[in-house]
Amino acid sequence: MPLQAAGDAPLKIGTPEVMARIRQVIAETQVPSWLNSIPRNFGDAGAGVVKADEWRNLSTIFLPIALISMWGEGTQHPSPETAAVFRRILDHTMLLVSAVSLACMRIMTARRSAAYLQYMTQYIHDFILIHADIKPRPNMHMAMHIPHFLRLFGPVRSWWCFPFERLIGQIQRLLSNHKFGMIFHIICNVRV
Amino acid sequence: MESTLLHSFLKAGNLKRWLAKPDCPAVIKECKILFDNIYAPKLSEANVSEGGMDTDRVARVASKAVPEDLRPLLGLPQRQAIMCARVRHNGIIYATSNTHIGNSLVQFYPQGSKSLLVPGSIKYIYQEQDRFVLAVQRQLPTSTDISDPYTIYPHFPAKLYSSQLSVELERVQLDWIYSHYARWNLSATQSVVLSLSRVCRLILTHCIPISPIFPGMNMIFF
Repeated sequence: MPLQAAGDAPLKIGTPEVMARIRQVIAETQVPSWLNSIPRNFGDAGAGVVKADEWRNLSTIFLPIALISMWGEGTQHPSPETAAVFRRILDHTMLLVSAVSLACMRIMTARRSAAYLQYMTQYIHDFILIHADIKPRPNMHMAMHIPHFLRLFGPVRSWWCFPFERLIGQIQRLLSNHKFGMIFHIICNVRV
Repeated sequence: MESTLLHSFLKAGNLKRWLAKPDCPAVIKECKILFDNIYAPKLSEANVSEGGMDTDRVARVASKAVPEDLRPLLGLPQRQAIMCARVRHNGIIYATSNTHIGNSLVQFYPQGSKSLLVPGSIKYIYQEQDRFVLAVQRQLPTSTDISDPYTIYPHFPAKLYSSQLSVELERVQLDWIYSHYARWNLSATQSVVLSLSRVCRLILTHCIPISPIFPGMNMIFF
């Protein structure tokens, strides 16, 4: 069942209060130095593009801490109906958080892969009901293929494309004379 | 672009395989040593060994007067102890809470027993014979009558604790450490503690949480 009737204004989720709480959690959470930091002005245009590793830390550490503190069990809301709606959105978001955490584990087991699939299936199923005004994304379809790869190739860390992305980043930062491809052409012609 | 990257990757793979084989000429191996010295990350043997000591201990380590609260852990009535601000174990840096609060937050097995995992903050790092050990203050549990909204999600290993630390110090060896944790002060009296291990999701609590979404999905180790 959708969360609001056809004539009702949709419930706002990304309110200034929510954004302020997320920024507060990012700024105040004490984390070890090996964890990449997130821009403290996350959400502003000036914060720049959030990179993939930052998204992962955001979605598996800072966002759930902030959202549970606002919408979780025992939190205060104007009415029980609003509390129930936010709780449902939170439980739905936590399905994705759990799926991402499981997919990024450095040891992969058949149980973890099956649990990922279970979370992702539930997430996509509920997405259409909870966020009726948002169209499903192609990424959701692709996310359902990940369990196959987890079973075939093991932990995602050994086959994800971040090493290549990092290499592309290094190549982009190289000084060049705008004649692209020459260095790699030379490297590739060196017979090993 | 993709084919160029793939070719480079395969060439690098071939080169590494060739360097590992016994018929690789000595001169090429010599070149590898040179390149490793220039480009490879510099981690000394002492840093990656069990209970290894920090290489910058010459600068950081000093024989200091033993603080009053650390004396019971040392056992002997000694007045001086070798103490340092940070130590590296298996490539991960642990620091005292005065040096870097985030690097001082560790989950550990008390007395090395794997049956229980507790979070705590490192207060001192001191030398005991030929290795460094930690003096840790435990994160105190929160009162039982407060419902914890964080424990109902089985794959999100967070839990509410008191924001107070225990006064007593606990001796912890470096190999009893499980992982770092993140801490956020929810209020003046409560802190959220989240395990940062990416190897195994181990729940911090004694109770077995039950997922509200998948009631059959109970877990301690997963």
